[in-house]
Amino acid sequence: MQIRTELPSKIRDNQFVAIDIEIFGAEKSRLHRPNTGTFASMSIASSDNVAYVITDEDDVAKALDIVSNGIWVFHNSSFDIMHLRRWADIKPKNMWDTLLVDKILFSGWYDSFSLQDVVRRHLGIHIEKDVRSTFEDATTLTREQIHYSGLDAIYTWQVAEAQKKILMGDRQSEFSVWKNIDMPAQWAFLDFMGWRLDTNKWEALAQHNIQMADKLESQFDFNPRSSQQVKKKLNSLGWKIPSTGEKILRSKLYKDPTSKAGKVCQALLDYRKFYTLHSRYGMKFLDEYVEFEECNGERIALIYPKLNVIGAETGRTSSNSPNIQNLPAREYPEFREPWIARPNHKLIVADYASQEPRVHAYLTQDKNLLDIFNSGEDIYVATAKYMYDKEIEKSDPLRNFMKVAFLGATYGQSAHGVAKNSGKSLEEAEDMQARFWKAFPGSKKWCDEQRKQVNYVETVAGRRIWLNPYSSQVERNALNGPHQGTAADMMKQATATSHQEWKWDIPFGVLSPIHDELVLDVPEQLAEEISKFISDVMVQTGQEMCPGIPFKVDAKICDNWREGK
Amino acid sequence: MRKSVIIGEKGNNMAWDDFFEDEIKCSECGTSDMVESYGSGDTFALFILDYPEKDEIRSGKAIAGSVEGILKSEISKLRGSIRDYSFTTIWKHIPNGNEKCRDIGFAKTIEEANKFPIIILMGKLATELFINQKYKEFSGLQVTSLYLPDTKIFVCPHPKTLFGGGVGEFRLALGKIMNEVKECF
Repeated sequence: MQIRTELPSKIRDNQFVAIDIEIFGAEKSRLHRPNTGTFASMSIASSDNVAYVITDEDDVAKALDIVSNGIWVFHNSSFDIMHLRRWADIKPKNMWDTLLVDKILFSGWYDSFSLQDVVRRHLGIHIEKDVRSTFEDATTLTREQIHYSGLDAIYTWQVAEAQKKILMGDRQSEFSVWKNIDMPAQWAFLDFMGWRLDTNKWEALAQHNIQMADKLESQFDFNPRSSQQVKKKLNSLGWKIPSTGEKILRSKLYKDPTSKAGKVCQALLDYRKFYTLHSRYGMKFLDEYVEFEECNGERIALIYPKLNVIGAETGRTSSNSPNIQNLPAREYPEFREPWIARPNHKLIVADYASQEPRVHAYLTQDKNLLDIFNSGEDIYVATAKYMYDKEIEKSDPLRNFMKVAFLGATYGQSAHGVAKNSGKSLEEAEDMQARFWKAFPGSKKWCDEQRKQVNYVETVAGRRIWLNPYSSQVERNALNGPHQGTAADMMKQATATSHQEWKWDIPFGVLSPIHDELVLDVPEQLAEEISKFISDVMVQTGQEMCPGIPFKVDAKICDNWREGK
Repeated sequence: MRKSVIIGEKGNNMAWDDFFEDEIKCSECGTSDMVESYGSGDTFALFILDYPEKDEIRSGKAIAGSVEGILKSEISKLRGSIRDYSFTTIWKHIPNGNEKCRDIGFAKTIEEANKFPIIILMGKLATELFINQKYKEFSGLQVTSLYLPDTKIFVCPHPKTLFGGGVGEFRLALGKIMNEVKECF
C-alpha cells in the first residue's frame, strides 16, 4: 500500500472515495463538537492500495474539491463531516457511511461496529488502533500517524466495496433504507441546532434534589449508599433480601408497605431517587455540557447532544453527551422546563399522536383497527367500544387501560406486565388481553406469526432487525421490532424531508427528534408557518409509509419544552 | 469412580464413553471435581474453552449442559457434527483463584493441542494465554501462537455470548473454522 502526502488525483464520477479525518487533542466527550481539538490530517483513498494524506488544513477544501464528483465514504460520517466543515463548505450529497451501512445490514446480528470490527469481519484483517491514542496529546504528525491515517482510509474504502456487494445482491431493500432514510437523516442531524438551557432553573432543580437527598440521609442511622449496610439494616427489621437492587426492594415493599422495614425501604428509595437525579442532572451536567454563545444580543447557554442516526437495533435514534432522549421527563416533567427557546424565538413541539398503534394497524391490517383509525374517533374510546361493547367518555379510566392494551400488543407484553404497568389485577389484565385478541383477530394472527420468527423481522421500509433465537427476549423483539423500527424510520424520514425542503433563510431549526416527537427552535414570527410545515411533513411521511392509515400530529408553539407537552 | 473420556492419539478412533478411568485430582489444590478433554481421537480440531462450570463438573467433560447444546445446534446448522471436534478447557476445575492450578491446566492444554492441526480459542482467557490478545479483536481470524507454531489457530467467541447480544460473531467465526476443518478432510 502506498501512503502519499500530496493532493489526491482526479477520480471517476460516482467512484467511492474514502475520507478520514484525524484531530489532535480532541476531548473524548466532545468529539461531536467542532470546537474541540485541532487539525491533524485528512486521508483520502479511492482504491485498495493508495491513500493521500493531507497534512495542512489549508489544503482540505482543495483536496475535497478534487474528489467532489465521487461518492464520499466515511466510517462515522457525523464525526468526519462535523469537523471537515471547519475547513471546507460541505453541502449534502450522496455519501456512504460504513458504520451506518453496517448497522443497517447487521443490527442485532453483530453488537459492535468500530472500524476495527467491520474491517475484521468484511476483510478478515486485524487492524491495530494503538496509534489512535497518540493523537490525543500530539501537535505535530509523525510518520507512524501518517501511515495510520492513510491505512484507515484504504480499509474504509475496502469495507464500502464489500458492503456494496452485499447490498447490490439480495439485500437491495436495505440500500433504499440507507439512500432514502438514514443518509438524508444524517445530513439533517449534522445541521441540528443546540438546545438552549435556562441554567438558573436547572441549578434550582439540582439544589432541590440534593437538599431532599440530604434531608432523607440525615434520618438514616446507616449509610444509604452502602448496599451492605442497607441489607444489614433491613435484615435487622425482619426483611431477608438477597440484594438491595431496586427491583427486589420494590417487590418486597409492594407486599409489606406498612411495616417498619417497609417505611425505611420507602425512604431509601426516595433518597436514591433524589440522589440519582442530582448526580445525573446536577451541577456537573452544566459543567460538562454547557457552551455559551451570543444570540440576538444575549449570552445564552446551549447544549449540543450527540444524536446517533441508528442508535438501537430497531433503527431507533439515540443520543449521548448528554442523552437528551433519556431525561426523566415522563416521571418528572419539571426536567423539561429549563429547556427554553432562544431570545425572540419559540419552541415547536410536534409529536405523532398514537404513532405505534397506527403502525400496528398498518402492519396487522386488522379490519376493525383500520376502521377505528379511519373513523376519526378517539382511538382509545373506539377501542373500548370494540372490546367492552360500551360507550365511554374520554375521561373514563378505561380509556387509559386501552393505551396499555395497545402497548401489550405492540411490545408483546405479558398479562403480568400489563397488570403491573396498569395497576390492575392479573385477572383483569388477562381478561383485557383476551378481549383485545377477540375484537381484533387480524392483530392476533399477525402477532402469532411474528412470535414464530427466529431469524429476522423487518420494518415497513425494509430495515432488517436480526433476532437472537437464544435470547429470552426473542418473541418480544420480533413483535416490537417492526413497530419501533417503523416509527423510527418515519420520524427520521420526516426529519430528513423537512431538512431537504427547509425554505427559510435561517438555520435548520430542528433541535432533536425525541422518539415520536420533534422539537424545533425558530424565530417567533415564523413559528406558525414552520409549525404547519413540520406537521404537514410528518403527517405526509406517515401516510406514505403506511398507506391507508391517517396520521395525526399535535404541534404546540411554546416558550419551554414542558409547555409543549 | 466417575465416567470420563480422554483424548486419544490421532487415528486411535476411541469411541465416546468407552471406558472408565480412575478418579483424577488436581495436583495443586487436590480437588477431584475435575473435567477431562472430550472428543474422539480422530478429530482434526480442538476447541479450547476457558473453564468448566457446574454442568461440566457434574459430567466430568470439558463441555456439557447449555454450552454443549448450543455448539451441537450451531454446528449442525452449518451441516457439521459435534462429533467431528474435540474439546478441552484451560482450567480443569472451577477457577479458584490459584494461578498454579490454572498453569497446570494450561500446560496440559498445550500438550493436548499439539496433537491437532486446528485449534479454536474459545474465550477470553484462552485467547490471552495463547496469543496475548483480546479475543473480541480477533474473533473469526486466524492467529499464530508461540506455543503452537505449526498449528492453525482461530479465535471464536464463547457459546454463552449467544445468550446476550447478536449471534453473528459466533456464527461468522464458527463458519470459517468449519470450512477449514472440511479442507482437512
